[in-house]
Amino acid sequence: MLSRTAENLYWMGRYMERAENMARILDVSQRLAVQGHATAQSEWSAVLAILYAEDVYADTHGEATEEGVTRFLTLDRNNPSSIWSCIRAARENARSLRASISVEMWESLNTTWLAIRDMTHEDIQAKSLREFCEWVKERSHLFRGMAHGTMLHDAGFAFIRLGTFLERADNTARLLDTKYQVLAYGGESDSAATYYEWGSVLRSVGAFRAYHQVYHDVITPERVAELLVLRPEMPRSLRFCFDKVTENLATLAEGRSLECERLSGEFGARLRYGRMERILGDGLHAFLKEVLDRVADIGLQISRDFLMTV
Amino acid sequence: MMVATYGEDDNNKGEPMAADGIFDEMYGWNGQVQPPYAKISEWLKNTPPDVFTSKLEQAELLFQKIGITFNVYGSAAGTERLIPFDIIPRILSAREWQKLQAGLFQRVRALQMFLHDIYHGQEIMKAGVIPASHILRNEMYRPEMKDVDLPGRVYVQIAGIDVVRVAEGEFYVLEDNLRTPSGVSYMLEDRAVMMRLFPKLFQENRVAPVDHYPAELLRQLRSVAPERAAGSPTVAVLTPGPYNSAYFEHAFLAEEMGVELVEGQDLFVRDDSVWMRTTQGPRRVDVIYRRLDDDCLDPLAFNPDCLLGVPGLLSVYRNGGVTLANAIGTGVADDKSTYPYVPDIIKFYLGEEPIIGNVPTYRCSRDDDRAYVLEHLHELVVKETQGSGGYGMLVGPKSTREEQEKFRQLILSDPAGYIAQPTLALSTCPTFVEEGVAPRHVDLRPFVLTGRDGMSVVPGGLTRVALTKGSLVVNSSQGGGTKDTWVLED
Amino acid sequence: MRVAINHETVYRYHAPANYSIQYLRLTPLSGPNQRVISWKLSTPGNLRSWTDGYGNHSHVLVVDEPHEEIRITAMGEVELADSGSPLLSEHDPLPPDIFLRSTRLTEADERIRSFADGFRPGVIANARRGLDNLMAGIRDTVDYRPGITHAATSARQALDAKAGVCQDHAHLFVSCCRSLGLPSRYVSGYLCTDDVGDDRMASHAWAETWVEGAGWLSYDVANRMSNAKAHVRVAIGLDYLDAAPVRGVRKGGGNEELDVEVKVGDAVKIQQALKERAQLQAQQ
Repeated sequence: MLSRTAENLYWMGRYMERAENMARILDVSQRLAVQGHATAQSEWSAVLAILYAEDVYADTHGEATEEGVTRFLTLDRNNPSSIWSCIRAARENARSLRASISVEMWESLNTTWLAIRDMTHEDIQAKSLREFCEWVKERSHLFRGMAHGTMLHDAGFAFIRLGTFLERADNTARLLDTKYQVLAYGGESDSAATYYEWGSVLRSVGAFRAYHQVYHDVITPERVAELLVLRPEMPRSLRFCFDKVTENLATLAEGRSLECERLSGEFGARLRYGRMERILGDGLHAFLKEVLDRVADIGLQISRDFLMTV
Repeated sequence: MMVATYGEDDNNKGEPMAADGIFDEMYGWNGQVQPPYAKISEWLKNTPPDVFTSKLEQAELLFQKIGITFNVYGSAAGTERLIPFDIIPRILSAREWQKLQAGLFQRVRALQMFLHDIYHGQEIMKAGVIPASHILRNEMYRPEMKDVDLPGRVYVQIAGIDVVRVAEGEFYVLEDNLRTPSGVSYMLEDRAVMMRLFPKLFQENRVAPVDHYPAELLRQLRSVAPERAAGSPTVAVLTPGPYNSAYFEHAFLAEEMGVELVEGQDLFVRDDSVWMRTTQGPRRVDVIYRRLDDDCLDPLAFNPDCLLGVPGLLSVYRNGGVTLANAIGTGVADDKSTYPYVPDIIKFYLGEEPIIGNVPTYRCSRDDDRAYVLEHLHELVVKETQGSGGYGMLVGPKSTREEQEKFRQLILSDPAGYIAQPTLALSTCPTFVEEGVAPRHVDLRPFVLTGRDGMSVVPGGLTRVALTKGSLVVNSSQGGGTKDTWVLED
Repeated sequence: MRVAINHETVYRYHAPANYSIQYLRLTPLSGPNQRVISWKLSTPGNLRSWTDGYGNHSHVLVVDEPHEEIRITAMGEVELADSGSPLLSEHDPLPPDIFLRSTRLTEADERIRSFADGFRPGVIANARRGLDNLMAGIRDTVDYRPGITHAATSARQALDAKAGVCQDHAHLFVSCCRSLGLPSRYVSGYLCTDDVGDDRMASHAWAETWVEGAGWLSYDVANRMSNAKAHVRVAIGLDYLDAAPVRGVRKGGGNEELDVEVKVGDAVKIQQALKERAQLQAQQ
């Protein structure tokens, strides 16, 4: 397929996933702020930290407040990572691709775009931030479902999945990195606070119930980390994401031995055979930094191997 | 000019009033149903109007679903609009089509020879049949094509020849389109929709199929690939992108032919070849069906500000490393100022009289013609020699004094820039309008394909209909519609 | 006269460029007024030759690996005829009429038309004398001053600015001639001046105009020379864009710096100078 087509499909997948992750984080942060288990400001700063957007925000908006950060991340047209911008980018990529995606996928993306295009902050306030975030998640699920259900599971589909899972790995790593540092090392170990904070992390990745199904026990930071890093059955874990990326790269490589697949497979093996105590012992932060670097490298290598960025 | 209406009542079952001097495709001169329309006329009479209404709505939905749209220039921010489709087919008998086909082949064959000649030996200019200056000073004549030898000497792989009818067997060529003629996707989709809506009609009438056009186009394109691509040449459709008004057609044809739809950025030049950037690495392209203007094809050779093309393309083309369809430089042959010479061109290269003639044309560059034109502006259609889409045109009988005066000045300041033709009484065809069924003017654009081994044409073509009462303007860019065209097999 | 030429073009990019493609018109052809003794074109990357629509011996240079510099060197020796004679149309692939057409860089506006009209009676009376006067008129009106205009400046902009370089003089002359109904074309090449070391005009542009009965006559407006004698002809076209020594595009690369160094000299004199210097050194 044309490199440009593959690139569009890949980015369409990444942007939709990014939009969904943004909505999840926002949703949970708002709940935490409301419940008052951390100062509102620190919660909203933490959100920006996850997204590495503290400086950008500070330059243009000053203090981190609920309203400021929410506006920044939902509908700010100047923020290339706002939900508005992500959906717009996803739809733009799809527009160039109409021949490669199904009519239903296009229509669903287009409808999503048309709904958010002229939305205002007041529109969101009128219902609630939570409803807005639910809506974004729903549209993202619809998009994934359409892709899965209406596209040929061929190279095009594989590129969308690549984008989706690389983005998801990136997001999980950042979320975990930020929260772990803040929660594990800052403040007293107050079991109620732990429950709410870590519960929120789990909720933001839809893993609250999953945790209890796997661990049948109280929430501890170590187990949350394990769930999100190593558990193969958890669809947002790094292990799961890397497995999917490697799988899709293998499909796309068609027998050729490509560097991007090697990079992904190699790291995937570490996740497959890794042990959480070891990772925590060596330093979770360092490990997660490595994850982020590896994700970036894989992205770059995908460009070289498939997208002929020439 | 009076326009016929088919009766006053809602059901339009009344007898048609004959119009002065206008031939109706279904009702002829005097209300007598023409043989090819026999069955359709019955169908029109016997089908209740609400059936038609619901079918019309269905058609609209189908077209929306397909996404067949057209960006109309001048409409708000390039909004996409559906081209109106009329469900009453326009019908030609087998015999009529045979004659048309022979005329089309003759004309296109002569034009190919003309193009080869003006870019090589220039015999027709030496013989004085066409003044050399007319060709050499024409901006569409491309020095870059001088002495370039094309596979099969084919310059125009796809020609859209606009034909009009004024009486039963009397057709004229209105215009040649030899650069990037469009509309074939409507022809194909119109047929697909008609077959969905009225399957019975196709059982009752033996209509020649048209859906082999993409396969035939691919075959012809492959046949003119460079020698080295011999076995399995790679064809691609080059589009300016989704913001182009005909993008739907580019995507449609690429998909139907099973070839890639590419934009300039997907291609690059290296080693006297053109390559596509694919996920499996570079893949050489042998034939490019390009829907870009000449001027945009290569920013290193033509307009440096147009980034839609492929830098280096001209060098590969001149070296024979890629075939372009249509060739660069065909515009000199379809220019309105060349049109009056086409009958002479046919005679010069083929030694034959044209089977289908030109509309009588006055060339404002000639003194006597110009004098006549200026005297009769209110009766004539005046066209620019480099315009398209019907914008730079004066329709005499419909124009105001002011408009006529404006054209008088234009003609005086640039006589060579204008030709004029009498307003033809184009045939009309029954069409669904607000008031029911009424006659509207139609033309026909068949698409003639030429490859190394010969020419082919799919029976019929695109019928365009002017939806406004009495209007002669059928261009979709100005609000015309289309009809399915039937050639009966008998 | 035998002319030695060394023409070096260097593009430097502030960031790596991934793909660049250039059309090169850096190879002179032998003709009635010049004979190419030797010529060499050195480039990185992938070089293919082709002949363009005007008969220019051209090349396509493609560099498709990441690069920050492209260095193109053209050098060789050309023997010039003692007196330039007009070129006849059989030396060209294209008939003169082609060179009547207007381009963006040579389009004649009101001002150019009326400027040219001033010379019309003279040209009609005696074409060569009339064109000599046109050349003088343009040169008197438009100063030779680098830095005012640039590669994309059109003839009418140069007339407005009343200053320019050889490219502008040539465009203006061509524009006026076409306005007067005379086919005229842009010529790119080298000028061998007596000042060895002054390479301001070494890479040079001038014009040729078709005069019925005579042929293509050359007019070097910048130097007020008709009937070019010390000129090595490399490429022709409707304007600069057709005949430019290097014309290209690239992907990536950020900001670009261009350095051009042209050395043109009398081969015999150069040999002589080298010999003398060697003798001097041997004596020391």
